[in-house]
Amino acid sequence: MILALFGFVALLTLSFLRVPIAFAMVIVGFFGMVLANGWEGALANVGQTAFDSAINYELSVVPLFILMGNFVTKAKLSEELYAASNAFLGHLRGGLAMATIVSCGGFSAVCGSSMATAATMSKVAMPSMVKYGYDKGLAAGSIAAGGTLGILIPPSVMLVIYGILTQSSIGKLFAAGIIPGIIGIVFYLAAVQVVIRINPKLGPPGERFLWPRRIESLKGVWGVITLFIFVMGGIYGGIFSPTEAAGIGAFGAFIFAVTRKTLTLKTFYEVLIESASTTAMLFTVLIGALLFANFINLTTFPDALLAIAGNFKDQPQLVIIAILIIYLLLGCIFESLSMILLTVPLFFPLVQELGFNPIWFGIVVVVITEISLITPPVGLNVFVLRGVLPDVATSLIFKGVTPYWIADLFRLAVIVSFPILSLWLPSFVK
Amino acid sequence: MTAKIDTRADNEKSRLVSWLGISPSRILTFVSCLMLFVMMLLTFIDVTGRYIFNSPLPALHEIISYMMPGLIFCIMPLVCTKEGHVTIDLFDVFLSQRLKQLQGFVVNLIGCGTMIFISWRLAEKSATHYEFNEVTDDLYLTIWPFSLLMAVLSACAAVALLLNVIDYIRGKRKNPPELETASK
Repeated sequence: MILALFGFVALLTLSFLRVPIAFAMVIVGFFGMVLANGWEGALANVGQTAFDSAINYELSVVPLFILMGNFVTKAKLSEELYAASNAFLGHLRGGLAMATIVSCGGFSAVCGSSMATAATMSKVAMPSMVKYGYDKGLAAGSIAAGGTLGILIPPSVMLVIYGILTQSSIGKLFAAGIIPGIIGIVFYLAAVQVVIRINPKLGPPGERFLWPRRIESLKGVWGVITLFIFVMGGIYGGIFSPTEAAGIGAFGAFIFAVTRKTLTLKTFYEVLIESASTTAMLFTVLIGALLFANFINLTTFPDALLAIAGNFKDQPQLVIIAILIIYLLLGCIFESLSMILLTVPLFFPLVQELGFNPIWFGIVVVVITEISLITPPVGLNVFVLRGVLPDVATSLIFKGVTPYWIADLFRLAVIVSFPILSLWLPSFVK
Repeated sequence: MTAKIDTRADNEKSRLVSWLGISPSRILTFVSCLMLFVMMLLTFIDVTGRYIFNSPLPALHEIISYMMPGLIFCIMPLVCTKEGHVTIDLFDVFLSQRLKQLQGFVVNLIGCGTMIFISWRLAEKSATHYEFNEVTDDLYLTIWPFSLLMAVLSACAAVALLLNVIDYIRGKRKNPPELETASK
């Protein structure tokens, strides 16, 4: 117990000193294993874990979905999405911000990463919001928040990782993400409306489009819809495994990018480098997290947690609430992937023990991770926006994003209270 | 999340780094990208083959599994050269320029040590594979060259990190890069 706590403290200290989280986890995990179980086992464990995590067919789904997202980004499907949502919503007060959120949701359906969604949409949505005199905080906030939907609406790299960690069906997890994702969009739209009610100057109405133009604009969205239906339909219908769907999705997105002439040889290579780098980064964190988890499992910490949770058998909700609070606090400082990899192996047995559904818990974890992407002081999506829009102060973006994470807290409450919202669609997955 | 890798303007690239770090890592990067693209093509061909021509590629799962380490470890030197690993940069604002340089030095040294350690463990693993003459399930490929290659590539990543350390000492690099964005 004490050893595990020391481990966590050491890990946090190293990470705060800016040692890459992956390396920090390898170091602490290894020395922890040495202390818990001696040199020999610890040494063997490192080689085995590194080898097994790299040579793994199941995990090949990760680079392929990343590749798909990056090709989709280059294919500029985001522009049509934004044009279409703008045609329907733009004329309302706060309409452009609402259009941003809806198109972020749409983009999330073909991209599995939140940061990529935010970065892509910022280039499309920001200029028009600036043109119509939107408050920059509200504008940037809507992109940062809308972007978080990337990891909830399938495909989602985070859900894949959760599925592999907990041996849950990735197809079911993907299906489970859809309704909470739509709820997320609706709540964000409500957040925009509340902000505009309070101060209408923040988001003046844009241009009104007539119905023929609106119908016309929908035609541009067929690419995204085709890709989504093909990939997700294939998984839900049991035609493809998730890895196959990812491969086909990446190929489809590649064809889109080629036929739309948005891909030069140079950008093509850039997409590959970017996807491969992201994969390597992710796998380093994965190897580190597995070593750290192996160490924790050698201590009495998991048993102690189970024993504590066992005391609350009559009120399992209390345990869930405690877990949620831990996640919200961790999310403020920790990077999302490491947070999931560190905590899920610890909390998952508790959740199972108390009889909660693993698919539902996966959605809850991902929704909390979404929140962590926009809460200060470390909100990765906010930093993405800062990178894309250097003239907007970070504090302004954090301010602009506040209504959205408040909306997210409501969404979290709804999703936690009504598991059926997450579990209804997966019941149809073969 | 996407790692777009770019060092900031005030970090110079020393000749040492370009010769020992960037040039070899460029070649390895190409291999990694090739793996990724071929992996995508193979999956596509497999599925179309299975549903349209009723003949999937044989042993594809295994082929892809053994391409994965190539994809991951070949690009590792580049990720390391560019300091592209996930870090918590929460306290960057409080650090002076000198401290940042010191931090870059220490952090890369720790990273280098870790990569050497991983490389050593993988080499040891490879020795075990060799000793027991282990082969894969479907294609009966000998496993030890794969684990050895992983060890060698990890060592390359360690070299990349060591070069970063040297650059920090010589003052060529002044601060660790800021958070990557998926921009561009």
